[in-house]
This record gives sequence, C-alpha cells and structure tokens, in this order.
Amino acid sequence: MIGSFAMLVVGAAVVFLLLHAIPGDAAIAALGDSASPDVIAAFRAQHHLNDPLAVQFWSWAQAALTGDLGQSISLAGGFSTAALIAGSLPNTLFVGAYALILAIAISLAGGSIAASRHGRIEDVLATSGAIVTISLPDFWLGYVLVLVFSLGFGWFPAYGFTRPGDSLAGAFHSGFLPALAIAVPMAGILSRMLRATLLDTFRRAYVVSAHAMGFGRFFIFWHYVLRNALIPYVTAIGLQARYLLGGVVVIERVFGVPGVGSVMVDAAFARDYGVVQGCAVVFLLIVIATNLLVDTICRLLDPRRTA
Amino acid sequence: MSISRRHLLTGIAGAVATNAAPAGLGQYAYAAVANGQTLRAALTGFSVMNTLDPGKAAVNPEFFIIWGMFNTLVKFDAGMKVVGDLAESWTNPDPTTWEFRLRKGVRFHDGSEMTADDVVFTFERIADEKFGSPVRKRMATVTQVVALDPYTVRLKTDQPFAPLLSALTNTRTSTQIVCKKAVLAMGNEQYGRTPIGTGPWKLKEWRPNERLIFVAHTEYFESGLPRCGALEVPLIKDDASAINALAAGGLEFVNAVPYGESDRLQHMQGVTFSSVPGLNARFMALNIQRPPFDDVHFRRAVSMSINREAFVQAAVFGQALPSQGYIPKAIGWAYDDTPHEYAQFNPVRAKEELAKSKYGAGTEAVITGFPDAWWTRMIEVFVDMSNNVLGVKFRVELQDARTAYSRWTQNDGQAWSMGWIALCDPDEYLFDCFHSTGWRNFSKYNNPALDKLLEQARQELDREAKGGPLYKQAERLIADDCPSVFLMNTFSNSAVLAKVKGFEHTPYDGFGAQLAPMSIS
Repeated sequence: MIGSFAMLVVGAAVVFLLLHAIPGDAAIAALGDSASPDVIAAFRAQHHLNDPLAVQFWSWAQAALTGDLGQSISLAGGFSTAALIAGSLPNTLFVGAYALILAIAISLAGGSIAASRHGRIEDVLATSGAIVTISLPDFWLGYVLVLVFSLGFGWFPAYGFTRPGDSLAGAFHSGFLPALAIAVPMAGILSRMLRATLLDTFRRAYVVSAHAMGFGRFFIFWHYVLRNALIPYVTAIGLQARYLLGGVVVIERVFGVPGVGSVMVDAAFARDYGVVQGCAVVFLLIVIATNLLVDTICRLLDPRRTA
Repeated sequence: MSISRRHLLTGIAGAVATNAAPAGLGQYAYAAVANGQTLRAALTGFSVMNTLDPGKAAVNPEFFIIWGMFNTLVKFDAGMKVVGDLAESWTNPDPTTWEFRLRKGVRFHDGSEMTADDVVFTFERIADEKFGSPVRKRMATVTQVVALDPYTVRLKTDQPFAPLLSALTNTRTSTQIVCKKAVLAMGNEQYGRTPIGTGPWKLKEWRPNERLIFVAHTEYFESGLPRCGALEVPLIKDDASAINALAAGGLEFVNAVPYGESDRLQHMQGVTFSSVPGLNARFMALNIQRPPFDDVHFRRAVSMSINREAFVQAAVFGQALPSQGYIPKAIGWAYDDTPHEYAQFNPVRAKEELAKSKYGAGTEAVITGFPDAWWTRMIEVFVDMSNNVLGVKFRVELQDARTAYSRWTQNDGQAWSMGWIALCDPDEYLFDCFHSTGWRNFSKYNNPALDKLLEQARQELDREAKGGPLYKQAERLIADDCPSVFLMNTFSNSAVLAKVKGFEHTPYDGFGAQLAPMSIS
C-alpha cells in the first residue's frame, strides 16, 4: 500500500518534471498566435505559470490529495480534469476490454490449435499468421479495416464511437473495428506465447505420466496443461492491458474513440500540465490495480503460491 | 522452454515499443441521429477548444464555432463586402464617430431581446483590463460606446480608424454581441462553456475534445434559418479519418480537406468539392537581426531562388496561389498584382545578389518549422530550392507548432516557416506585422517610410479607392527589403455531400457562419 502510494507520488513528480523540461507554453496553446504579449503575460500570471516549479507541484499535489485534480487551462479551458477523465475513461475501458476479450478469444484458439497440431499445417498457418499480425502497424490495420468493412461492405461506421452510456448496442457496433484493430496484433503476441508455453508443458514429466495413466487427451489438456500454461499468459495479458490505456491513441484517432489517451496526448501538446498530471495519476492507479489483479489470478491458478 | 515473468516483461516491452503510437489529435463519437434533420459538420485538424465566449476566444476552432452561435454588428458576405448583420445600417457623422442602427426583435437563445444595452456591454467588457480579452489592445482605439436609444449605438474612436468596420465583422475579432443578462447571471467562466448568443445555433452539449451538439435557434432573426433542426460538430484531428467518414456517409460536411486528398474528392461520387483562395499568407519569416538574414542582398537572393509555381505544386499539390506579398488575393482592392522583381524566380539575378551580400555559397542557416503534414513539405521544398540555386547550406529543424511559434515570438532562431490569417483588413496584415510598433513584428523590422504609409492608410475611411493604392505601395516597399520570403496563399478547400443544399463557401472559412442555410435533401 505504502509502496503503491510512493509509486504514485514519484510517478506524478516525474511526469511533472518531464513536462516542464520540454519547451512550449500553455498560454500560447490557449491563446493562439493572434494573442499579443500582454495578454499572454496576464494568462501566465493568472494560472501561476511563472511560479517556481516546486511551488507549482506542491499546490497541485496538495489539491490532488484532497481529490481535486484541478481545471484544464489550455486543453478545454474551465472544464475540470475530473470531468475530462470521467468523459473519456469509460470509452477507453470499454474499447480496451472489448479488444482484450477479442484478443483472448483469438489467441486462446490460435495458440491451442498451433500447440496441439505442432509441426503440422495448422501450426504453420497460426504461427505465421501471428508473425504477420505482430508486424502490422496498428494504424495501417485500422485504415484497412475501414476500407474493407466500412467503405466496402458498409457494415460498420468509418468513424465515430457511440458511448456505452448512450447505447450499449451502439458501443459494441461502433467499437468493433477499433477493438479489432487493437486486438489483432495483441492476439499475435499472446498466441505465440501460449503456443510456446503449451508445447513446453506438454513435455513435462507429469503430463507424460498422466498420459501413461490413461487419462483422456482433453482431460489432460484441461487439467494439467492449460492451467499451468495460463500463468505466464495471464501475466502477459496484464502487461498488454497497460498498453491498452495509453498506447492505442492512434487507433482512437483513426476511429474517433474519445479516449483518455487522446485527452492526455492533446493535453501534453497544449502544455495543460494539470490535465496531464491527472491522467498520469489515473493511469498509475489503474496499472497498480491491474498488477494486483494479475498477481491474484496467478496465485489462484498456481496452488503453490497460495501457501 | 519455460517463460518467466521477467522474460515476458522484456519481450513484451519490446513489442509494445514497436507499437508505440505517434501522436495525433482529435476524436468523435458517431452521431445518434435524432428525429428531423441533423447536419453533421466536422471541424478537422483541431481538438483543442478552450472557450466559446467571443470576448475570450483566441484560436481558430473557437471562432469557427462562435460564428454559428453569435452575430456581429456587420459581416462579410461571400464577396467579402461588409454588409449589415445585427446592424441594419450605419453612418459616419464624422471620421471618429460611427452610429449603428440595430435590427429590432432580435432574440438571444434565452428568449430575451438583443438591444443597444447588450452592444455597449460587449464593448465595455472587451475594454475592461481585468476581463483580459485577447483583443483588448486591438480595440483600444474605441474610446466610447453609448446607447443613444434601445436600437442605436454610437462608437467613438480616438483617431480616424478605418479598419474598425472589418474589426466589427464575423471574423476573428471577438466583437460578437454577447447577452448582458446571461453573462451577469452566470459569470464569465461559465458563460464561456454555456454561452447564449443570437446566432442560428444554440448549444446543447459540449463534449470537450470530442464534439459539440446544437439545436436550431427557433427565434433566429433571419427567417427560414437554420434549415436543419440540429447540428453536430465532431472535432476530428486526423483529417484522413474525416474524409473516410464523409465517404461512408457519416458526415455531411468537412471544413478543411487535406491538400493531398483534393484530387480524390474532386472525383468522388456524391461529394461536392469546393475550393477558394483563402485569406492567408504562407511565408518564411526571416530574423533580420541575425546572420545571415541581416543582409538585404542575401534575403533577396533567397527570395529569387524560389520557383513559387513549382513550390506550390511540390508543397501543397497545387492547392495554392504563388504569392509575392502578404495581402491575399481575396482582398482584391488592396492586392498588388504587378510582378515584383525580388519575388520572381531568377537564378541568375539570385546569384548576383548573393555575390553582393556579405555571405556566399556554403552559408549555413537553420530554418525552423513544425512536423505537421504539408507544413513539413513547405519547409523542405524551400530549403531544397535555396540550396540548389544558391549553393547555401540551409537545414530543416522541426519542432512542434507551439514551440516553433513561441521561439519566433522571442526572435529565437534564424528563420521560421509561418502563416497568418488576419481579420480581413490589409491593416491587420501589414501594420501588425511590419510597422515598427506592430505587435507581430517579432524581428523588429523598422522602415520609417513604410511606417508613415501604413499610418496614413489606416486613417483612410475610403478603404478601396484611397486606402487600396497605399497598401499596394506598402507591399512593394516590403518586397524590396524582403523581411520575409512570401511563398503562397493556400486554398480553402471544403467538401460537402452532394445531397446537401445551400452551401456557400466564404473566403474567410467561416465554418459556423456557413451552416445555417444548409439542408439535406
């Protein structure tokens, strides 16, 4: 708990310092290039941008500790950081979870088939398919999906995302292509990994002896092989889940998913320090929570760890 | 083989790194179309918007939206003539006095009537130092605003100031009339998020970084407008995505078509492509305080090394007019079309000028620009042409737009690729950027003859007949000195679905101002 808190503080401070290390000015982002110098000076004074960095960080941290993440100054002036995150995080979580489910489904099938048909044509196809999908740039895949399924068949919207809060069915429909664009490369990584661990587990002594005892193939796969192979697989999913938060900004852009990653990138470009900090804290919290969750699942899967 | 968690960490970190996303901006949720006609008009290339309060607005996307929600005293029509908007008529009893007669029965979105009181309030608010309007200094020439009766307003200026009329139009001027009652009731900050105007579109919801949703202002003073019952404006940073959405029928209107897509859209079925020369200037701003651009011969040599016709093809797929000055062609009465020697491509003369300068072939300079679509090509083509013709060694340096701009304002660097879109009066181009006291004259260009000319021109109330020749003369003085190398005047390109009727393309790219007459058949 204390470790997690320390991670939060250090993370926030690092983000803060990095942001201030890059050149740029929130005043110019907010006021544009038609603002005269006196207006820019007034803006900087109003938002305490001239204060020493330590003072700026301290006043931000003090407010953040009481749950106040402050207001946007140059991204969407006057909107609270909390409102910006609340408006975008559910979309990110929805599309992320959607992508994760697709990736898990694809990789479980792909990895299992490849491992159980080791060395045969199914294995070759699944393995080379995985390599191809890992190598595809995700934004390119996004455009190809739009070209085929929106402009070609007209099955899905080319752009835009219905918030789950507005219509759940609409969210599943409009979120399919972005989720797929994210899921496919991820499924490539996961299925290769699953295949490798499955093959490794197949050769273990306890599996061989289970065969010798005459258990059925499916029984062995389900009870002896898959469960053990799932531990590194779940760990890998945990790491991918982190990428789903901020790493998919390009996909958010291509499909118009108003996600928190885009908010953070825009805020960084607008030098809206408070909003970037707020997003960073939320990211850190989610990453910490994901790690705890992954550890818990791994412990459940591996009886030795519960001891 | 066994895979430990640590192996995984390193392996996957690598995989994630290769997937790391280059940053783009903008997003939108696709419209859940309600009953009746909803016009979906995308603002492309933008995702940041800080206020919808005209008095505070500063960046283009804010004005694009404000034009649809507010009105001004006067406005530009499609031919760039000033016509009445909230004012029916106006007179100049003397060169420093302007009297505007207001329309009767104009209603704000809250149902209250717009009167002279609101107009006075609007201008007093901009003049208030505490309010901090970005246009306060620009409007400081207005010394007094009084309501003579509920439908007559008198403005006094400290000296004859001819650009005033264009500063009162629906361009980037912040002079849109706000609702006094609403501002006082909700306070400035809230008003910026939930503004009340007189315009055809009434704000229903603003989803920051995503989209804005409007309903028709049913009491709008221009009868029959707006034609659609609702309006959605997604903010789409990635313009290729906007074109895809248009092609798939998910949008009716895209305000800015990327130059590379212009050809495709001209041939796309079901889409009407529209192109007019914009009110912009694209140029290389030179730092005349620092070597090598402190030498006028060197600047002239560089200017003559640029083949502007070829430049336009290479940089923006031909979607621009080559330019030799700052004032765009759309302001025809002040546009100087006599070819100017130093703005013509002439390798022989360019080398002669180079020989006269303190610097020779091999001179190094860093040209700063930003990594943003055609802006990058613009700077690359410029550097390539200068290096080829003159044998100089210019280098490209890219920084994000805001950093590049802020360095320009501090005169930090040797040259910067820049652009300017003014308020549609030549004064806003030449005085602000080249007069020795101009706020946008960052490299402190000082030419007393030019100063005198520009001061005289801004007092000339007969803009076209008497002001025009003065601005043309001023452009020639500037072209002689080359404090900037003018390159082109890019087109404003829009695309609208063919089933949309009533679209009229304004040269000032009046996004929100163009939407009211549009209907979907």
